[in-house]
Amino acid sequence: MDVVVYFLILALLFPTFPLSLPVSFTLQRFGKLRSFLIMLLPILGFFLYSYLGKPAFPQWALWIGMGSSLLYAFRALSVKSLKRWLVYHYVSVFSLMWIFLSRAEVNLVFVAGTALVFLSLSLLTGVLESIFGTTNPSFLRGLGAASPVLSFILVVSVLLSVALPTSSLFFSLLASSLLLKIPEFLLLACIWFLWGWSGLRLISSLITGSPRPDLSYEGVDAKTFLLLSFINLAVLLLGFLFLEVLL
Amino acid sequence: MRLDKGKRLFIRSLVNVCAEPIPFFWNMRNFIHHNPLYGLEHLPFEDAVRRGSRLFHAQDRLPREHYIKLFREGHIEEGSLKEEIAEFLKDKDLKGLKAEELLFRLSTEGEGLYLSRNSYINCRCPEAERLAKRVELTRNLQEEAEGLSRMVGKELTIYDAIDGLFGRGIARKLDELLIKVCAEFLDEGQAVWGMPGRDRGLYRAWRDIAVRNRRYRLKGCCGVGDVLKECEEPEEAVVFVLNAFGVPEDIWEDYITLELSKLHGWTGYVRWRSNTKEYYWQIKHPADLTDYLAVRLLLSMALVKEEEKTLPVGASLPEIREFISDRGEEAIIRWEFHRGECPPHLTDAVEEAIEENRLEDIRERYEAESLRAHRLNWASFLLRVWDNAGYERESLLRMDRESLNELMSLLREYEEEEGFIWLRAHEKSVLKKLLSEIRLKREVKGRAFAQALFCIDVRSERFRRNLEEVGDYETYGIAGFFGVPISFIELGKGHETYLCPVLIKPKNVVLELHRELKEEGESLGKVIKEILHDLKHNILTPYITVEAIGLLFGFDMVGKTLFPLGYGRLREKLSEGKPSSRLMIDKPSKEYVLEVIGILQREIIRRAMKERFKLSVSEGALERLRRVALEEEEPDRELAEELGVGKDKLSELVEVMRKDYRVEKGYTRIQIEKLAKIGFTTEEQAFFVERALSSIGLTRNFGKVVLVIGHGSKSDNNPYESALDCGACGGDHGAVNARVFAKMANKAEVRLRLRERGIDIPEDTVFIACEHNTTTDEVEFFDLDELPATHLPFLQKIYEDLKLAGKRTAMERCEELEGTPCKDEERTFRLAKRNSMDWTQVRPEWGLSGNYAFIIGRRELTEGLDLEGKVFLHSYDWEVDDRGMLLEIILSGPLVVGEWINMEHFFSAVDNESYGSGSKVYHNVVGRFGVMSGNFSDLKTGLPAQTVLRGKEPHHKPIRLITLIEAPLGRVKRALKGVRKVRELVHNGWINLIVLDPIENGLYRFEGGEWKKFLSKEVGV
Repeated sequence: MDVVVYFLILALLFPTFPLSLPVSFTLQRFGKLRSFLIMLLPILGFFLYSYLGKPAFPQWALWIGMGSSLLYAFRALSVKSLKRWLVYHYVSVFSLMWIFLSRAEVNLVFVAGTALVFLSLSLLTGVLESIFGTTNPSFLRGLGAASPVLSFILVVSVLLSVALPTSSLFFSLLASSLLLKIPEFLLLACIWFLWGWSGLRLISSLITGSPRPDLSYEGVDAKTFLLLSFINLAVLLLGFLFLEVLL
Repeated sequence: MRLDKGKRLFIRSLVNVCAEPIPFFWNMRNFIHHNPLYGLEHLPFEDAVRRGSRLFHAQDRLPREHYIKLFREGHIEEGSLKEEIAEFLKDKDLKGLKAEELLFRLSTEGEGLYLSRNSYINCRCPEAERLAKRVELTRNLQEEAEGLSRMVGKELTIYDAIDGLFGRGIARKLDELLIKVCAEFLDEGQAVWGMPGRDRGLYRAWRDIAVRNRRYRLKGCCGVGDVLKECEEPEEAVVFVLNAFGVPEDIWEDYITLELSKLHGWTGYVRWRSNTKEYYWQIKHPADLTDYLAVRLLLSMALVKEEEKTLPVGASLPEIREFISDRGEEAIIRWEFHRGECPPHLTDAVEEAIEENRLEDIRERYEAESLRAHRLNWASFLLRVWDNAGYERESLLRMDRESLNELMSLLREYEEEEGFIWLRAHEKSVLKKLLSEIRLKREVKGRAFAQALFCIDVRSERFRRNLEEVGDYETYGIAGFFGVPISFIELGKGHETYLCPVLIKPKNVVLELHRELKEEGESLGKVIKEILHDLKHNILTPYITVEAIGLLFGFDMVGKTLFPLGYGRLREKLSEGKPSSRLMIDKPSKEYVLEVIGILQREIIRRAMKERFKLSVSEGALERLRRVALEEEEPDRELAEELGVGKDKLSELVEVMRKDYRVEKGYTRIQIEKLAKIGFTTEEQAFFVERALSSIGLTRNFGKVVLVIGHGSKSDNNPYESALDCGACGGDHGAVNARVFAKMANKAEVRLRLRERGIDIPEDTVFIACEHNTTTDEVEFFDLDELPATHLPFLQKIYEDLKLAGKRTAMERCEELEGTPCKDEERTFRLAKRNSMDWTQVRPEWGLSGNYAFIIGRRELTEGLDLEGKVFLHSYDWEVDDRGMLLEIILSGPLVVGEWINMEHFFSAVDNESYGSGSKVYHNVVGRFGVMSGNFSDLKTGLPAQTVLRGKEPHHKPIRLITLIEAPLGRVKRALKGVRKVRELVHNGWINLIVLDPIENGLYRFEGGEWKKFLSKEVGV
C-alpha cells in the first residue's frame, strides 16, 4: 500500500520526471479541468503525505525533484504557448516540493499557497483561449495595446508565478534555499533564473508589439477581473504568511 | 571574386534604379516634408498606395471607425458617400439585393465588421453553422504552395522564406546588426568615439572591422570574414551573395528592391546622402546604396548560412522553391503557423507536429479544419453584416447559393475598395464646402496703408486674416523663400545652408557679417560651455563631473520642468544672443575678390613666417613671396636677401607655402570661383524681385510699407523642430530670405530697372523684413537701422497691429491645441510662449496638420473667410501673366512642395507607424540626423503621432490636396503642358485640380482623364 502511495506522490501529486509525463499531458489536454486539477493534485498529495505520517524522504528524492525541476524549467524556455508554459512551469515548481519532503516538512497552507499561484494563471489561460482560441504568441501579439486590463492581470500573474518578491512562491523558495547546501543552492538559483527568463520572454512576446489588424481583441469582464485580482492578492498575502512561518 | 569595370557600373546603376521607390530621407536638422510614395508618383494614386502598402508593410487606408466618426461629425456628407457607393455598384448586376443600402449601412454603422477578423471564434450561433455549410469555399494547399514558391525572390527574401517556414528570426537579427553598422558609420558628431576608417566609405570601413569582429560569431553570423576576403569592392559582394543565394539574374531587380525596402528609413537616408554630394558629412564619410546593400546582403548571408546548419533544406532560392513545391502542404501549414494565420484552435497541434516532425499526420485535419474555420468566419461575417443592415436573418439563410456567392464577392471587393470610396466621398464633401464659401467678385482697391507678404504656409492664413481685420492691410501669399534661392553662410559657421525648396540648387551665396568690428577672443560663457562639453564627452570625467557639478544641472532641470516660461525668459536674458549682423548680397567685383584673396594670403604667409620660421618680413617681401608661390614671379636673390635666407631655403619656403598653406595657383583659382558665387548682380536682384512681385500680382498700388514676413518655429527638446519651419526655405527659418528680398527691393538701382519693366515702386515705399514665429505668433523685425527715419512713426502702428493679430491668431490656435475655447488673450499668448519653452511639450503647435487645399488666385477669393489655418494661399493675378509663365513657376515649385506636405500628412495619419514616426515619447535621436523608436529601429521618416493624431484619432483628416486655380482654363492647360511633374500628379490623381475660369465664370475639375464642368448644384453655389 505504501509503495502505491509513494508512487502516486511521485508521479501525480508532486510530479518528477519521467513520471510527470501523464500529469503534463492531462493538464495540457483537458483545459476545462486544468484549474481544478492544479489545485486538487498538490492538496491530495499533501493528504497522502500526511497519511504516511509525514516521513522524511531520502536524499535521492531531492536530486530527482531538482533534476525534474531544472529539466522542465529549461523546457519551458522553448515553448511558444502560454498553456504549455504554465504546465511545464507547474511541474517545475512542484518538483521542488521534494526539497521540503526530504529535508523538512510541508503543511497544507504551504502547498495550497503554492498551487494558488497557478490558479489565476490557469484561469487566465482559459480566458485567452475562449477569446482568441489560442495562447500562442505567433497568433496573439500586441495584447498590451489592445487589451491593457487583461495584459495587466496577465503580467501580474506571470510575475507572481516566477517567484516575484512577496509572492508566496518567493518565500517558499527562500525557505527551501535555507535547507540546501551550496551546490544545491546554485542549482536552485539556476532554476529560478530560468523561470524568470522563460516567463518574461513569453509575456513580452504576447504583450509588446502592435496589435494584429486582423484580430478582434477583447478584454476581461469585471467579474473575472475581480476574481483574478482577488487570487493574486491572496497569493501576495499568503507570501507574508509564509514569511511569518519562516521567521 | 573580381568584377570588371563594366559589370561594376552595371551593379551600381541597377542598385540606383531599384532604390527609386524608396523616398529620400533628409536629415532631421532640415526636415523636409515629402511624399513617402514619391518614387511611385508615376503610378495612379490607388495603384501606388497598394504597391506602397505591400512594399513598406503599411496600411493603405484609415480604419472604417475613423471614417464613421468623421461622417457622424458631418465632415463627410451622406450624399457624397452614397454617390460613391452607387459609382462602385455601377456595373454590378445584383439580383434582388439592396446592395446600396447594405453597403451604406456597413460603411456607416459597421464598426469592427471586417471579413478578415476572427469573428467566428466566439460565434456560438447555430445560424452561422447552418450558413457555413452553404458557403462555397475551397482550399488547395498544393496550389497555394505554388503561389508561395513564386513569391520567393520577388516578394520574399531568402531569409523571409526561412523565417516564415521554419520560425527563425533572421530578419530581426539582420535589421539589428545593420542598424548598428549604419548608426556607427553615419554618425554626425553624436558619438564620442567614432567608427574608424570612415573616410574610406561605408563598405570599406565596415569590411575592415567585420573581418575581425568576433561578436558577429556570437550574434549567429557564419563566415563573414571568409566572404569579405573574397569581396574587396561592394559590387563584388552584391554579385557574390546573389549568386550564392542562387537568385536568377532576371529577378535581381526585384530582390534588390525588396532588400532596400526593408529598412526604408536608413535606405532613404543613405540614398539622400549619396545624391547630395556637397553635404559636409557625405564628403567626410562617403556612403552610397551599393555599399549599404553589400553590407546588408553579406550579413544576411552570414546569418542564413548559420541557420542553414539546422534546416531541413538548403538556404538557396532554388532549394527553397523546390522544398515549397515538393512539400507544398507541409510548407503552407508551416507558413501559416509561423505567421499566425493558422486556425487558433489548431496552433497547439501544429506546434507539436512541427516539433515532432510529423506534419503529414495532421495535413488532412488541417486542411479540413482551416476550411471549416474559413467558412464559419464568412458565415459569421455575413450574418453580422445582415444584422447591421437591419434585415431578417432568415432571408440570408434562405438565399440561394448563386446569390450568396455574388454577395460574398461583392463584400470582398467592397472591403478592398472601401478606403478609396470614403476618401473620395470625403474629398467631395470638403470641396463642396470650400467652393460654396469662396467669393468670385473682383474689387478695385486704393493704396493700402501697408502690404504684407507672407509664406503660403497654412499657418499664415490665420495671421493674414487677423492682420487684415485689425487695420488697412493687404496681404499676399508667396513661397516663403520669396523666390530668392540662396546658399547662406551664417555668422561664425563655415558651411553653406541652402535656403530654398529642395528641388532647387541655389547659385548665389549670401554671407552674414558682423555689423560692428569685434575683438578676437572668446567670451567666458563660451569657454565654460566648451569645458563642460569636454567634461561630458571624455571617457572618465563624467564620473567626477556628475559628483562635482551635477547639482547645477539639477537647477536647470527643475527650472525647465516646473517654471518653463519664467526660467526660459531668464535664460534668454542671460544668454549673449546672436550679435547684430548684416548680409552681403551684392556681387563683389573681380578686383575686390583678388584683393580679398591677396589680403588673406599675405596674412597666412606672415603668420607662417613668424610662427614656423621665426622670420619677421616686410609687407613688400610678403607680397613678392606670395606672387612667387602663385607662380607669377620667379624667385630671385633680391627676395632671398630681403628674407635673410639662402636660395635653397627660399625654394623650400615657397614649397611649404604651396603645399602646407595652399598658397598656390590652383587653389587660388578655386577660391576665386567660390568668391564669385557670393551675392547677386543688380540684374539678378531686379529679376528676382520682379518675378516675385509679378507672380503674386503686386505690381502697382504699393503701400508706404511692405512687410516681407518669413516664418520659423521655436520649441525646446524637439527633434522635429525644423518640420515646423519653412519648407520653402529647405526646412529652415525664413528670416534670411526675407532680409535678402527686402534689401534687394529697397535698392534704388533695382527699382530703376523694375520701373523700366512696368513695376513702379514709389520712393516712399520701404520693404521691411520680419519673421513670424508660428509657435508663439510673435513677429520679429530685422534691419530696422536701415529704415529711413520718415517711416519710424508707421512702424509703431504696424508693431501694435502685428501684436494684436498675433494674439488673435494665438487664441484661435490654442483653442485647437487645447480642444477647449480660450477666452483670455493675454493668458493664451503666454501659454503659446510657454509651449515654445517647455521641454516636456510634445506638441508645441499643430504645424501644418489639417492642410487640405491650395488656392492659387487673388486674395479676394478668400478674404474674410475663416479657413482655420488649413489652406495654402498663393497670390496670383492671371491678368498680369499673359503667357502663363508665372503660373508654370507656381505649379512647378510651390504646388509640388504643397503636395509633398499634404501627402506627408496624409500617409502619416493613415499609418503612423509605417509612414509616420510613431509616438515622440519613445524617440531617441541617432547620430544627430534622425530618430529611432526605442534603442534601435528603422529611421523614423515621417511625422510623429503628436503632429497628426489626437490620441488615437486622426487630427489631420487625410485627403488629397484640393488645388484651386483662378485662371482661364486654356492657360492652366498650357501651364500643365509645360510642367511634366505636375501634369503627372494631376493625371494620376495625386492632387484634385479645380480651375475657376474668370472669363467664363465656370468651375472645372480634372476627373477620369478629362476636364469636367461643375454644375452649380454640385458645388452649392
